[in-house]
Amino acid sequence: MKDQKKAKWILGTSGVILSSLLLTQFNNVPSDINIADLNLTNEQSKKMSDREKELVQLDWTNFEIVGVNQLQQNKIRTDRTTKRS
Amino acid sequence: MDTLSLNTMNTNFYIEIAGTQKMDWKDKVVKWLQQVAREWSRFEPNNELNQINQLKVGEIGRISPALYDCLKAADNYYTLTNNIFSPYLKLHLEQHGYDRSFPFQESTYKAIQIEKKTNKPFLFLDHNEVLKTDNQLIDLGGFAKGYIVEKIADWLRQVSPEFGIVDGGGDMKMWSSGKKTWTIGIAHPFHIHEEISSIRIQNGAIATSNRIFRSWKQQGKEKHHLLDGRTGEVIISPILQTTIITNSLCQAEVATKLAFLLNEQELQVWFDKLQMPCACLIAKDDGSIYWLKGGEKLDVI
Repeated sequence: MKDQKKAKWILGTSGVILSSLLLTQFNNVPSDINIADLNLTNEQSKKMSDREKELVQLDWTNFEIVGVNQLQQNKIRTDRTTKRS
Repeated sequence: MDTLSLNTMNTNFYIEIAGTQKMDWKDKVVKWLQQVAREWSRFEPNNELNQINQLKVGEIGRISPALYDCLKAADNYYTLTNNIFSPYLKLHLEQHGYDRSFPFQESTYKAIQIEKKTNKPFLFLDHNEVLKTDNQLIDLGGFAKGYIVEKIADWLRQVSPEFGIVDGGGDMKMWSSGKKTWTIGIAHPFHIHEEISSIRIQNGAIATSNRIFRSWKQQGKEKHHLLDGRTGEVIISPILQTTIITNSLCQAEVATKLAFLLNEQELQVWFDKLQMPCACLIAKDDGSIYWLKGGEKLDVI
């Protein structure tokens, strides 16, 4: 093996060993939040069909702005209030 | 109809669903929220977030799948917004005096100018591992709350498809198969029991951000919790409060920050660029309140 190639090979191996040594595995990483259970991940959302994505995209536009006066006149109470957080 | 109320993460959570055969949904939701409160807060000394923040440059850490997913999503918005939104502002928030949980009015933390780096501090590897590449520290802030509210809503929608809402202190996600329409008020920036506008909606997400609520004084200077991710400095803006309505709560959380920093045209460009169908209610310190929807400006009625 040529010296230059040998040096690269040694460096590469050292890198792998160093990475293994530096890997910090947190022993107390919580496991209670079960991603699979919640169907949480971005990866999973990527698996949605195009039709599902289209529906989700369209869903939100189904809203209307209602004036506060209009609510008061019709004695409609809001279900929830969005506020500073 | 079934409901759940609890206080955690310094936030009142309210959840309402039509009903489900899944009897243990409340136990699961409470457990998830408590775990996020404990493990993802920057104020807890020995939690999972703190352990990643303690990593040295070049070290690799393995984290829980949920935190990995949340951090990766936040990092993605960091890139998509050219760093305007940043989950890496812990040091800057502390330097501006936000070094403990609210409420507080005065910070004794001495302000020091620190450089804001814009390179990515983490590489996301396989198997829920992250490689630290730069000395910046994570503060997920409101994004973590939006993330978990959204995930809980997505999960509950599967177990109770008819209708439901998950409200985390005013940031919420709701769904309906069509029978239920939610009427949501938008609180006044100063007087939270008054409403300045309202909407009727079946499916979507709403987030509100306000620069008055989490504000304090540091060495006589007014500070608040909204920082420009590009500079690490407190945002100076005539806007008091922004409310965003869109289809994802994570997107809404990010968009509330963009709305403080960009003018209306720039904001619309960003919404288009991020493919975000979005409506926005803006309240300014000159008393003006208006909606921005599809590039149009609409007065509140």
